[in-house]
Amino acid sequence: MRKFGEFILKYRIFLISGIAALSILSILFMPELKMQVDEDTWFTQDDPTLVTWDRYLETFREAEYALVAYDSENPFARSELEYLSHLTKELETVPYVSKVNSLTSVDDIVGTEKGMEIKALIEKFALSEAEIKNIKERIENNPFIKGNLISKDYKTVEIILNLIPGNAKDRETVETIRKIIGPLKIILKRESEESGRVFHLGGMAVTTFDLTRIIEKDMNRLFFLALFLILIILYLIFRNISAVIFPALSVFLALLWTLGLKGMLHSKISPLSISLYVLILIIGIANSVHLISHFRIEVPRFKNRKDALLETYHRAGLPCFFTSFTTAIGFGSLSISPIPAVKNLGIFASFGIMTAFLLAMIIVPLSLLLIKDPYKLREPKTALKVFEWIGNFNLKYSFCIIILSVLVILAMLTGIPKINVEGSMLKYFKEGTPLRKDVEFFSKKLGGVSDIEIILRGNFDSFKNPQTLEKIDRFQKAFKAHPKISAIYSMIDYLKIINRALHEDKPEYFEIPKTREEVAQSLLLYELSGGTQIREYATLNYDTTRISLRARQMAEKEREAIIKEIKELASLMFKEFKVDITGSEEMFRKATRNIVLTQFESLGLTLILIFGLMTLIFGVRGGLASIVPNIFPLAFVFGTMGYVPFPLNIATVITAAITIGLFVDDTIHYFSHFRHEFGATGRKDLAMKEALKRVGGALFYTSLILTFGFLIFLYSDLAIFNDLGILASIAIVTALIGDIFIAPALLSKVRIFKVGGRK
Amino acid sequence: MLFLILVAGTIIFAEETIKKTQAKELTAREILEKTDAQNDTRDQFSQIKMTLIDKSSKESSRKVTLWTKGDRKRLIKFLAPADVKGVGFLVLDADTPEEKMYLYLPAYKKIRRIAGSAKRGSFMGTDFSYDDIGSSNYSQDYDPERLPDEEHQFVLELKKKKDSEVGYDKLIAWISPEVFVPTKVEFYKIKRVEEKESFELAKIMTVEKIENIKKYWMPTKLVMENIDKEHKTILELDQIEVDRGLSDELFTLRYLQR
Repeated sequence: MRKFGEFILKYRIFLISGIAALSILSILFMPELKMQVDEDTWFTQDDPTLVTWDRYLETFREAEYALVAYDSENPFARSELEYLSHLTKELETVPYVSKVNSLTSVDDIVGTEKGMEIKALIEKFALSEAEIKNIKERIENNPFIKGNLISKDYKTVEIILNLIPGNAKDRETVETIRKIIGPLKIILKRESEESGRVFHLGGMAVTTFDLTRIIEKDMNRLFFLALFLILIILYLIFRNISAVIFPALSVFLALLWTLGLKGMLHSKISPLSISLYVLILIIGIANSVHLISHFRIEVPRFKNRKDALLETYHRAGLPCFFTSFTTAIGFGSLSISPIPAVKNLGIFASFGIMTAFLLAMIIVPLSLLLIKDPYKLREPKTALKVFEWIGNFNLKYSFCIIILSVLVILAMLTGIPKINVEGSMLKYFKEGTPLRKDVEFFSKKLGGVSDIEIILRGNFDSFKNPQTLEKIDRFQKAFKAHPKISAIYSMIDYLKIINRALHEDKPEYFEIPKTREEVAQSLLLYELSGGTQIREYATLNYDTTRISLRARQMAEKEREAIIKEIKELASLMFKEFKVDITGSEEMFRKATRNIVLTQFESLGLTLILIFGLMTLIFGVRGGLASIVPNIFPLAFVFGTMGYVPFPLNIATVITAAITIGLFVDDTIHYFSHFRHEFGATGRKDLAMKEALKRVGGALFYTSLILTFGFLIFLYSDLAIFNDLGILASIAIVTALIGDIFIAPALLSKVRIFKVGGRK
Repeated sequence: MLFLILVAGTIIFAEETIKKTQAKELTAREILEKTDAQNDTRDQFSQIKMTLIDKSSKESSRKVTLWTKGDRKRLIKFLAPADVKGVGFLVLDADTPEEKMYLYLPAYKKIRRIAGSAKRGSFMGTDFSYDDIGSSNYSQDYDPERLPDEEHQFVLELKKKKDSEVGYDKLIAWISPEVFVPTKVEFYKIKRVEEKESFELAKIMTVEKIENIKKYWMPTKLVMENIDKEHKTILELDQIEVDRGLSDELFTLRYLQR
């Protein structure tokens, strides 16, 4: 590393200009950064789940919707109906809204003696008691209205906005969603102020929109908090403005380069990307702390600063590289995740961490040459005393410590089976946020906001065959009474309504027409009468149809069970068709699966790589011994997740992999010093205490920075990051306990290194 | 000789210029009224092939026979596909408050009267609406304004009248100055973003073929593209006969069942 230092000093002008040029380049690529918060966060483009979902949306374009609902004590009162009609018309002006369905705009098909009438359900707003009774009867008889446009208790009114973004490419962009939900919210805000009503909003687009807003707010806030935190900590440690500005500059540039690279590669900003801001700043700053600390010690021993600097490179360079490298491995292990957002975070955070290392190695030492007043070395006397005491404690109670830690590890591991996995986008949001409240509102009062879609693909006119339609009917009936399913719709519901209307509205004719001709002519009648809604359920050719289940909020296990049941029954009943299962619930289910897969794979890979590296550095016995103090924080994290509980989600899934990369650094530091001392003296007890005294303070400070750094995530408006912050802080604190109690206790009892071993 | 050519040239040029100036001098309203008058047939018979094409290029076609008499009587009989063959659709007093619609479904062997909002929707499940198909009466529903001509075509901007019930807020129509038939019409709907109103293109109709039948110029191939739904309908009119003196007998319930 001394040569590396000489190289940097020699080519400093060239290097600084290079850094400046790359930084400008990065700024130029910043505008390329685009947000992505929808299903593409979770699935790669070729993931079958996403392919099925996209194909579904391609086939049934109008299937995307936004929901608006509000409570109404007397929804059929004249003033209420007039208001609903007014609001419906207002909502029609929202861009990309193709149709607005409400009680006042919906058509009803009514059979009469002479014929059939397709007319508005509500034709006038001043209604008599008898007319209201009649309308309620018609609502009871129409599955598309009851529980859908009005709650079953007639106290909540719902409006459904069908969304058709301009073209397929537009569909998923945040810009399109902004164009829809932005104006929608403005209208509702104004209406709420004017009418005093409380509106509830639901649907995928709404969730996406709210998420985008939070991400924008969070990015700024967390960035400044992290920056503020490192400035404070650096000042507290070094009390020198230059020692604050240049390290901060180095991590800031590392972040800039990372974002620039992200922009250049057109990698989208996902909700998870927010964590990049905090992680790179907080983790990257450790390099500077080490470099400056060492320089502080070396300066008095050398005549000129250049020599002191080269000695600093020599002493601190390699440890900094190793610690950055293990952290990068931790993040890097996430790159094997099937979830694009996690994968991207892994790749870019690794890049950011290594960049922060490189930039710190160039910028910080060069800045040290400029500083007028070399720092006064302050003896950390209190810390020395504290760690001396801990050393004695470890020696005295080493067996107790080892036994106790094994017991704690075992106890915490029993929490693992209790860990819940949560793949729902909804759980990004904190409890009590308007979106969460709205979703609960829809789930309780109406049919819920999420869906399970069964797509059946056959041949031309397949779904005009009455036998096939009867099967769909039987399938629907099988799930009608399911507590988590609020409603099931398909084209057969329209056919039944039309058939009944063709037979003077006699209830016994609420059935599927008997012959193919009857089906075809009923459908034609429906179309001739201006009906278009059936296109949401069957294609023009009647070669593809969908059965749509509207679902209430459910837990992961319930979701898993019901989707399994649906799959089994569908593949049994519809053997002659290609069956696709999709919809938001199915997406959540697959996302949940991917989270679990990510956890196992990334954790496995990190453990193998890091303990492989430890074995390389400390030998087989050393490698094995290093596992013990590090299993302790891991068990603690997983136990906390199981017992508190913190569900495993898209953010918490990264906790284990990235924190191992961080806290293993402490182990490396402690083991290195221990080996050094033991090699010199051959006494385990002395080596244990001496090593503790030498690195204890540094371990404590770096853990402190990291803990506070992760606690910044508590200020995020996204619930998943609050969880990540708490879990990662727990990991860092328990890792510190592992390294200052468990590792010393273990090393003081078990002989691992040779006397006079490698330095 | 040269003199003759020069004179002829001058005359042709002058004629063109006069035509052009005349055309240019027409007001928006005059152009629209001439267009409306273009298909004022007494009666009409045609076979229509409707091809519906969805966004994945799936096609579905129907064939019907259409009889109309004046603006108020219409009879449609389905010829294909087989499962709807024989379905009849009769409209009396069309576009009036007394409008009556009857449907005969052979599978049910019943005539049903349909009332209500049928007209609001699309024309027989196509991307055309009844307004697009019905005898055009633009001047009744829209206020026209002339835009600069494009490629020798009149261009009119038609804004919906306040009291009109038509489905679109604005149209832009390209009208052939020779025959006063729209060759292309764009249909717009109002959308509002942060209190700012803008017009969003919803449909485009293109006339691909115009034929002269007796004294009338009639579009015989029309394509309607629905922008939102990425859906398209092609209408092809065939065997057109006009002003044959169709009997009122045709437009009765008895004939509907035949």
